[in-house]
Order: sequence, then structure tokens, then C-alpha cells
Amino acid sequence: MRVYLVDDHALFRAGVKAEIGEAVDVIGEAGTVDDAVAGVLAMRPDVTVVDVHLPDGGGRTIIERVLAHWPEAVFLALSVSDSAEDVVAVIRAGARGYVTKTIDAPALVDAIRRVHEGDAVFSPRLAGFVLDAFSGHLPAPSDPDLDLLSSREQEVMRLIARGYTYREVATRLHLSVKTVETHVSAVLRKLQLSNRHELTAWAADRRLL
Amino acid sequence: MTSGAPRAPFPAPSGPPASGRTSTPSRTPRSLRRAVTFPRRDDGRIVAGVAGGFADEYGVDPTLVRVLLVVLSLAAGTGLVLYALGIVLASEPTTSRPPRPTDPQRTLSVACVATGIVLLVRSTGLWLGDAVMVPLVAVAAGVVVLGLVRPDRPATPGVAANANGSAAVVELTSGRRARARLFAGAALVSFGLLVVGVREDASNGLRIGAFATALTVIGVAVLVGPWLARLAQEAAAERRERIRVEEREAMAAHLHDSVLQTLALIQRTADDPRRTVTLARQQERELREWLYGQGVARRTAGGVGPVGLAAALRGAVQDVESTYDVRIEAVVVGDAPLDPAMDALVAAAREACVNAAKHSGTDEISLYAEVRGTAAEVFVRDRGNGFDRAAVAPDRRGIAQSIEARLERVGGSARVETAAGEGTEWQLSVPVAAVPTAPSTAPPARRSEVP
Repeated sequence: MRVYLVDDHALFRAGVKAEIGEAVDVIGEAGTVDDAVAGVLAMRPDVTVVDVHLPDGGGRTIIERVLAHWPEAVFLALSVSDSAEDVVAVIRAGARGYVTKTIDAPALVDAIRRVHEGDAVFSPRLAGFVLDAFSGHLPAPSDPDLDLLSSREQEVMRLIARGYTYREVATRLHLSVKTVETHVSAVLRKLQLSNRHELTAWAADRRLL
Repeated sequence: MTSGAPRAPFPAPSGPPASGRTSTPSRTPRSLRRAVTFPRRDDGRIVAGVAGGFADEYGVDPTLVRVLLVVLSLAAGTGLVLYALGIVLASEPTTSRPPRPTDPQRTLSVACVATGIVLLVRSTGLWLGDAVMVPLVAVAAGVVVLGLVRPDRPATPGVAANANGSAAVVELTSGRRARARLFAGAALVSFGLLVVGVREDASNGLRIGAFATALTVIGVAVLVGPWLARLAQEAAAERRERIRVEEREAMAAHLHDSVLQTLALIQRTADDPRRTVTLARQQERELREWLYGQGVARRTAGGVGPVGLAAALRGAVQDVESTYDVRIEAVVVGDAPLDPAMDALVAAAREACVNAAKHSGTDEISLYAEVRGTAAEVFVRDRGNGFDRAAVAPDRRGIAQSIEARLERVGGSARVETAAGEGTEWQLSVPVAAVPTAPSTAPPARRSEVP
């Protein structure tokens, strides 16, 4: 897998590179939005690992600008941020997953592999944000398929928020891992596309829209 | 931010900043404009740059144009009318250099043109008689002179002028030229008022008296107005600057007390990895609370103030983390006001975390809390060595008392899933009070609002 790293801290990039360098091929790195957009578009990596916070615009800007030229690009967001605004903003911009920077190297490699294979990667924290965003039970939403999490999806999100891995979720719910991944991807798609009243209000509350 | 707005993948190339004047659209209709298409001059102009612009456009000597205008002005003011037409019809100046108000040549020429206009008006029937117009003109001239009393703004007004709030005022009143202008203006205004007062006669004394009063008010306003405005402006700027400085100082003080101290400690204890990790974790948690939390960390003790379940759980988690040197990934969805049931839930969750920290053998614990409809649930999970519930002596107080009995007393329940070698998960639940007894004091749960 060819991976591109974006983080404004050179030390952190070096650390990540050293940790995952054996498992994946780190083909490039950048510390600013402009460098990152140019580098990713030039090198076409399999996965771009992008920091949520950058001085001149943040991961969201990078994702939006790259996707405008190369819609197939795959992003994994990596951040120390605790704020729902930042995290949900990069997910809605198009990142396929979010992990915190305290993640250990094998888990990070695993997350990179997952997004590369087309799955979504949810940390417990992101699962919590999602549940928060989709919470409430409004009658007659405009597009029920899109605007509400199914009860299965909610269950999956809850277990992930409780710290379960996909495999553990699968065992617990008597599903295959692939099915769990399908559910998570569906949640990700809903998060990116959903325009439900309450989610919109929730996002507007936090100045995401 | 509108997600649906067309994206501009790259910022549009920002051209050279257009000068304000040239980009200002003129209100003159285009057809008229086409007939007289010469731009007024801004650089090296005398009054409004009409003569200069005309001369530039048609390649004649500007002095010739000006002399011609003056001569024509003597012929019943034709030159002045032409000049006024020029101002209206000619396009905006091509250069954006602002006129220099202190240019004596320009001031003189403006005075000449103004005098010309006054004389022209006097020769027509519009004159109200010298008795009224002479003082009026004097007052007008005084006001104009006063208007020229402007402090020469420094090149970067935002910085220099704000540095000292009273600088502009000092500038306004000091300086020989400024003071001379101030006195001249005041003298002219006073003269005008005096004349009006003296000329008072029986028939229209009242009217002139009112006129004089109005003039006095206007004169005072003209004299003092800019002063007051500037003073208010300076005060506001000073206040903004002070707030900014205070914020910066507060942040510097906080970083010094926390992050810098911790970094120094870490350097000294670099050979003790466990201590280093503990310090780093504590600092990270503290900084996070400061950055993303609601200011000072509110603890559960006392239960004073509008502390909700989420904040109380976070406080408990932080206590356990720093006491037992573990990392607890806490995710909280929703919130509820604290009541005895919630207090019990927090205490039980804390105990579950402590158990996991002490007995599980791992230092990674997950805590997930959700307020959903009628119940508040907390899950505390570790991937440690687990335990055999039957093997735990029934008199061990931790589980029996602190967790199960505590929740049962408030109508809740506690379940534990564990097996040797497979980790442990506590599932704690209490009912949420359906209707708060005192809704006015209870903070509403955020997600219970239905639009």
C-alpha cells in the first residue's frame, strides 16, 4: 500500500513513518495544505493519512480540494482533537475513517488497510459522535433510508463506542465481519449524505454547515 | 459553510489589488460619458483635476486650460459652470494617490475658486443681502479651515495610533500649524456669530437670534465633534488591545504553569518511562480539558451547580486515570441532569473503572455512556484477564456494595460479563427521571429537544 502522510508536525510524521514504514510504503509527506494537495494529486497514493488540524485550512480543505480533482482518493483522518466539529467536518468532507493519534502502530496499519479496502474506520469516539448526531426519533423523516440509522446500525455503533473491535462486534451480534463492515460503511455514507433535519440542526449548532 | 456551494478547488488568482478609486463605478450615464471621455487627474491637480485631465487627454498645456477657465469665469461665471460640468462628466481619476491636504498651492486655489463662486452668486439674484451673507460666508470659511485641522495620520494608523490612546488628541491640539488653523477657524466662526448678533434689528430679531443659536451649536459641534469621536474610537481600540493582551497573558501563564512545567519534569525523569508516561498523560488530559472543556474541570464532589451526567463521568474518569495510571477512553452520548440515580451511576462507573485498573492487568479501559429515552447506561470494558465471578468471595465489598447494591437502591441494575482470560464488561443502568421535579433548575438534556 502506498501511503501519503499529512501533518504539520515533522516530528509526528517521522514517528508515524518509523512505526508503520515496515508494513506500508510511505511515498510522501507534507506539512501544509497546498503541499499536501499538490503531492497527493501528483503521487496518487492508495491512502492519504491526514491530520484534522493544519495551520492553513485543515484536513477538511485538503480532502475537498483533492476530491474535486480526483474523486477516488481515499482519506483516513488522524487527530488529537476531541471536538465533534472537527471530526464530523472531515468525515462529511469525505474521509473514510477517523482514528485518534494515541492509536498504536498495528492498529493504525490495520485502519489504513481497511480504508484502502473500501471499509470505514470508526474509533469509539467517532461512533459516539455519530450516535449523538443521529439521536432522537423524529416522526416521518423525509428520507427514512438515509436519515435514520437502522436499529442494527445503531447496535453496531454502540458496540464500537463501547470499545469493541469489528470482530468482537461480529461475534457479539452473530454476524460476519463483512456484514459489520457493511453496516459501518452504510453509517459513514449516511453521515456524509444525510440532510436530516435534526442532523442538520446538530451540525449547525456546532457550526459545521 | 454551505456544503452544497460550488467548490473552488484552488483560490482564484488574486490580481493586484485594484485601487479604490478606479474601480468605483461612476454614476454618470454612459452615453454622456462617451462624449467627454477624459479621466480627471489626481496627481498634480489643483482643484479636482479637471483642467489637468483635459490637458492630458488632448495634449495641451494645463496652464493654458486653467487660465482660459479663470477668464471664462469672469464672463458671468461660464468657466465655473464648465468646470462643474467637467467634474460631473469626466471619469474618475486614473491614479489613486490621495490628494495632499496640506499642499498650500492647492488650498489657495480652492480658496480662489470658492471666492469666485461667492462673487458669482452675489452678482446673481440669489444673494440674500450682505447683512446675512457676509457673516454666513465667514462662518463657512471658518468651518472649512477647521475641517483642515486634521492630525497627520501615521503611515500605519492601526498600530501607532492605538499604541497611545491620547496621541491623536495631542496631535490634534499641538503643532504650530494645527493650532494656527484651530484659532483661525474659531475666530472666523466667532466673527460670523458676532456679526449676526450685532445686526439684530427689531423686525426679524427673533429669526436671526435663532439662526445665531443654531450657528453656535453647529460651530461647537464642528469644533468638538471630531475630538469626541476620536476619543471614543481610541478608548474602544485601547480596550480591545487590553483584552487581547490579557488573553495572551492568561494563556502564557497557563502554559507556563502546566505544559512547560511538565516538559521540564519529563526531561528530568526521562530514564523512568513509567513516570514519563504518567506525566504526559496527566498533562494531556489537563490541556484537553482546558482546550475543549468548559473551562475549569468541574468535579462531582458536592454536586453544586448545573453539572450534568457527562461532566460528572468525565470527572470520575479523570480521577481514576490519574490515581491508577491507566488510560480510559470515555465516550458519552447525551446528557442528563444529576439526581440521586445519576450520582449512583457515576459512583458505580467509577468503581468499575477502579476495579478494571486494579485487577484487569491492562491499562486500557473503555467507558461508554448513553442517555437513551428512559434509561442511562454506562459500559465499562477492559480486555484484561477477566475473573470468575463465582470465585470472588461474596464478602468482597467492591462489587457487591459499590456497584450492584448501589444501583439497585435507585432502581437500576448492574450486569457483568466476564470470563477468565476474556476481559470484563460492566453494564450499568439506571432509569432517567421521566419528569424532572424542578424543571426550572434542571438543565435540559440536549437531545431531548424535539423541534
